[in-house]
Amino acid sequence: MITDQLDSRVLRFTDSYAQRFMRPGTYRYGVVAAGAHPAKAVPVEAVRSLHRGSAAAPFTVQVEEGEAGAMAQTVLTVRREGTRFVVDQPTVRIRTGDMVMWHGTDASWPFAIAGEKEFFGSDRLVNESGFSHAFTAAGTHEWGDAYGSGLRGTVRVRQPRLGSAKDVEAWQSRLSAGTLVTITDAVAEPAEVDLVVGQTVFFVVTRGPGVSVTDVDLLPPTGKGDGDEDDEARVAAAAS
Amino acid sequence: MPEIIAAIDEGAATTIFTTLAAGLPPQSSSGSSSFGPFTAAYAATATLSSPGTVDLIPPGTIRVADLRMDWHLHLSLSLDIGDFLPDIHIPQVCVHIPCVGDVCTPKIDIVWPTVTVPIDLSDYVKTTVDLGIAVTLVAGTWKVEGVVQGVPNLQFGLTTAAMLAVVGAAVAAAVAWVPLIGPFLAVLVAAVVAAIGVAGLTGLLDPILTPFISGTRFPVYAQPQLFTVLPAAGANDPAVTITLDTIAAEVQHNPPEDELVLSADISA
Repeated sequence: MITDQLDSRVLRFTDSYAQRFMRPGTYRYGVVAAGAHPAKAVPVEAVRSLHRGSAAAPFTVQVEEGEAGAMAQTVLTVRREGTRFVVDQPTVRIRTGDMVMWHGTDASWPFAIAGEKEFFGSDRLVNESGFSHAFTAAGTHEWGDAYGSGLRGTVRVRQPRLGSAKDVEAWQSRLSAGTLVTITDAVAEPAEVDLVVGQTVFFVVTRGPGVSVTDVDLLPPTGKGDGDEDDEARVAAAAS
Repeated sequence: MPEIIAAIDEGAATTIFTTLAAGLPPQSSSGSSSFGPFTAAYAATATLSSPGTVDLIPPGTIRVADLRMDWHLHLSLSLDIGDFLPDIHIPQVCVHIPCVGDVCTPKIDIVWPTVTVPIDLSDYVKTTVDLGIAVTLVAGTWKVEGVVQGVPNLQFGLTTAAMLAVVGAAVAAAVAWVPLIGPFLAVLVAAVVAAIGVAGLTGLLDPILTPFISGTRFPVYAQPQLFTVLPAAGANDPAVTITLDTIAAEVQHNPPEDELVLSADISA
């Protein structure tokens, strides 16, 4: 029985969302609750209000022009305060080409990152973004794209044998080995991955119209996302 | 010399007690009790389902053998998984993205939660009890009752191992949702079951179930002290009533039988 859910639209404490910022500017965003319903994993209205410039986007990524070089990474922690989500650094300053990663600490409160710009949001992964998930239960995850791109993949997670303290130690040491899945134009490479419980897969989108990494059991029956009529326009905008 | 004497032998007594046991309502209790090293809230119900056989022993004992009681116990066990499993974390994971560089996820600490484990145990117990005979006059009614004496020794139908297996299955089901519990599930279940152990189960069940039997009163006979033996037949023929002045009950050996004998003194 799998009790672990794979869905990039709904960030849990075993997930992270990462975004590279390639152009200078000020990128405002908010953190919204997610996961109330599998077919509408992210409260789309809340995201749209953020896109319209609502004051509900209290956090900022300031991107300055930088010299080409090694990518720097900033990790931000999301936690719940009362009924709201807060980020440990409300404003971060980075250089172009750098990456910001968000992760949560509360197992009970899944969330989504919702930026004002179309490309910036965990509900839909576009160019230069990523999503990681640590698999915490054995089983087979057939996953797809909730937005209907046809992207598919499989993650098989098996139970380690932990008969002794030595086994536990060996297992723990294996957990630091991550697996990279690259998504380009709705094709995952590798499409199939084998892990043991506790290991992490980092899904990185190098190019694409905006996809999710979602257990097929959570996909809407039509395979066409959440039925939002603006989807096509949004895909086009992201692609442009 | 009493004016009224009634007697029943052991065969009749068994028949009567079968009827009496069937008429006793289910009993229930709730509270909290220690369950091995844990404290568990419980709600218990019990029903006497069979009195077995009755042995009348002079001068005042009614021995009921193989008295059967069906019981159900619902437990809510609060279990802190962290008490049994080591601290676990998913370390920082780094992957190399070609043409981009290394990306590292943050370390994830697994905080083992405290879970509530619902445990439902159902079984029966059998026991042999000795009833004393109690005769009381309460609110104008004579009552003769068999009252369970002492603390019976309960014999469970299921083996303790089977009940511990039920506990283990309940623990496994209750923690299945906990992230990363899978590799540790067998270890956790074994540790919890071992911690509870046979002593924990008997220590829980005995004090909860024993009161359902200990002190149980079987109503053998009830009669208003003042009662009509002939109804009124007219204005000049009033009802005839008598008063039960005293009632006594004892077990007598009247060869070849042992009998439960009720005797009454009456007055008009």
